Amino acid sequence: MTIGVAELTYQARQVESYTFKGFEAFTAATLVYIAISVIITGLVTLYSKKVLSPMGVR
Amino acid sequence: MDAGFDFTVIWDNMAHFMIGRYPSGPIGGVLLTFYLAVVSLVLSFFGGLILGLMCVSRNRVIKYPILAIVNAVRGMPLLMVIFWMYFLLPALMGRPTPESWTVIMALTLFTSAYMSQIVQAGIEGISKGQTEAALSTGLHHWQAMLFIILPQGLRNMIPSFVNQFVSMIKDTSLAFIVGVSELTHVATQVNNRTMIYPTEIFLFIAVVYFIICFAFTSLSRWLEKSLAWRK
Repeated sequence: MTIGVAELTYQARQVESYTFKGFEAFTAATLVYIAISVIITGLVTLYSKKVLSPMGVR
Repeated sequence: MDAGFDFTVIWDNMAHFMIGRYPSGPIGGVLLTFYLAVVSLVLSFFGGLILGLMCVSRNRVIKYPILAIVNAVRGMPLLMVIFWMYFLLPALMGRPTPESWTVIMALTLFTSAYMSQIVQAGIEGISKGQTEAALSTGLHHWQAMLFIILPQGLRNMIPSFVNQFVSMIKDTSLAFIVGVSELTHVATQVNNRTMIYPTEIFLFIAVVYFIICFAFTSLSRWLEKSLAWRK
């Protein structure tokens, strides 16, 4: 964001400066970040339950 | 045009880098970085301890909401946490909060979430026999945790704590986004004023951050050695 790479936070700030709705823009960005991390956590947990545990890896 | 570096810009602005506009204005620069780091370090140590103990609680009403909050905070970038504090703290308090406290609260929340995981792992790393032995001597469950498990676990947690704290010291640089005049903010100010010395200025603050973190690591290594298991 600080060097102008147009990733999610940068876009949220863009939306904020176009519409003055910073609260909504950052809520959306935060939800997307949390969704991504929850999905990744879920997938890895699933992997460890379905694949690693039957193999005996702790 | 020669491509040599001209470090006189650093010396000319040394006081600004170190203490900001201090005698005639608020503190800034390295001093403010220290202030942010030390205050949030102390707060997040206790915050992490409390959150971590709540995460290993057997009471589901305490455990699951705290786990949800911790995982939500860990899933957010620090920048988002700072923005949220920036919006929410004044709304919650009903009056404007100083920017430095916005950042301190954001850093505390963020680091506490990570620390709670370290505390959780440290507590789970102590063998079950210790808890059973403590309980069999007639200690209450919380007494066993507080006086038997936690003191043993804390020693094992120190290296991870130090790791987390060092990354927190570097994270204070994100405070510049809300206009707190710590080292990175002062550096961008000087860079905007002088315009042609970005390499020198950012090289200099990189060295300053390195010195701060290295000093902290050395200090904690010494602490670790003096607290090591006596065998």
